[in-house]
Amino acid sequence: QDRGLATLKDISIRLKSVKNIQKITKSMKLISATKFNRAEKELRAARAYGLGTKEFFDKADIPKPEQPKGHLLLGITSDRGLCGAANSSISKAIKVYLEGEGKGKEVKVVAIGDKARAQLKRLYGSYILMHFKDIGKKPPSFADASYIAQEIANSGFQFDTADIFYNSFKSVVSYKTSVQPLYSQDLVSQASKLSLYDSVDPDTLTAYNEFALASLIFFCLKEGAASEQSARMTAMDSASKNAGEMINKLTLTYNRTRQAVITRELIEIISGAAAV
Amino acid sequence: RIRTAAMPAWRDAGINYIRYSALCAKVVRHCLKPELQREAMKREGSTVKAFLWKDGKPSEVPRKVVQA
Repeated sequence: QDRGLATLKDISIRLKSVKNIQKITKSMKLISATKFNRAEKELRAARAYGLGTKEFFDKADIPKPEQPKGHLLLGITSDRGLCGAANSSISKAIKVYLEGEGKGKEVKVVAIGDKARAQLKRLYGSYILMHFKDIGKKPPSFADASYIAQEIANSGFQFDTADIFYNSFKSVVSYKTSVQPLYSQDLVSQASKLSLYDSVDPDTLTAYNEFALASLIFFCLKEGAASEQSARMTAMDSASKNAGEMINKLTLTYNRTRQAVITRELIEIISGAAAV
Repeated sequence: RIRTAAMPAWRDAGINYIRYSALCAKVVRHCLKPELQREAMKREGSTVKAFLWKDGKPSEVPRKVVQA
């Protein structure tokens, strides 16, 4: 009899806590839905920056060196979690590169966002050049991207090529972990198709390369933000659904246990009365 | 080495193109009419903090922000 009552109380405590968690995940879903709408709107405007720069790098036919003198990896994640696989997929891609192609090369990693830092610091701390915090609270601005680009340019690390790992936004339910390559000043000036563009004196190229660094980082930050919010929406949605299923199952168990306790008490009363 | 154009004054002064364009944008933002300026001022300033790493350990103190 005691065991029956104790289980009933346990179930009701569990039921209450799962209901609270469901409320939290539902509200997190709503919040990330509003943030996502804003991020997607800003992404549409920001796309022009990235695609224009990408076009130049694609069309200019820049030679890819066999042994680049210095390679930089940028991983764009967020400070906050609960967004599905969005942040861990970036860290995983960086780890795969460091173990595979990157072995033996002079590679450094820039971790943008606390999640990348946390996931890389244990085994790959020696590769990290710098990390950035306070990403993800507010939507990324060009000021953020230009600050990041400035710090990278002033870090003193000479790199021939760079790769930005970011989540490219495909749709509300899907994003793709992609790589955006970057090239140094020297490589760009050796591009074979450079003569197609006019007024490319060295000063313009230097200025353009610096601007390209900032605008590509901006583009990847915007894409990453939209992907992160949509991933969080999906994750919180499935969490709420799972919590709902748990609540249904627990309610059934609770009712069954309640009925069993009542039946047991009735039997005891009746058999006790018969004995007296 | 023949230069087709003189080195821009800002590069001579020691800043790079990113800082130069950020300063230009700041000036434009401050010149806007008040109704339009409110929206634009939200884009000014950055909250990102950088931490340099040395020998696999991050520094305790973030880099000082040198912003436009």
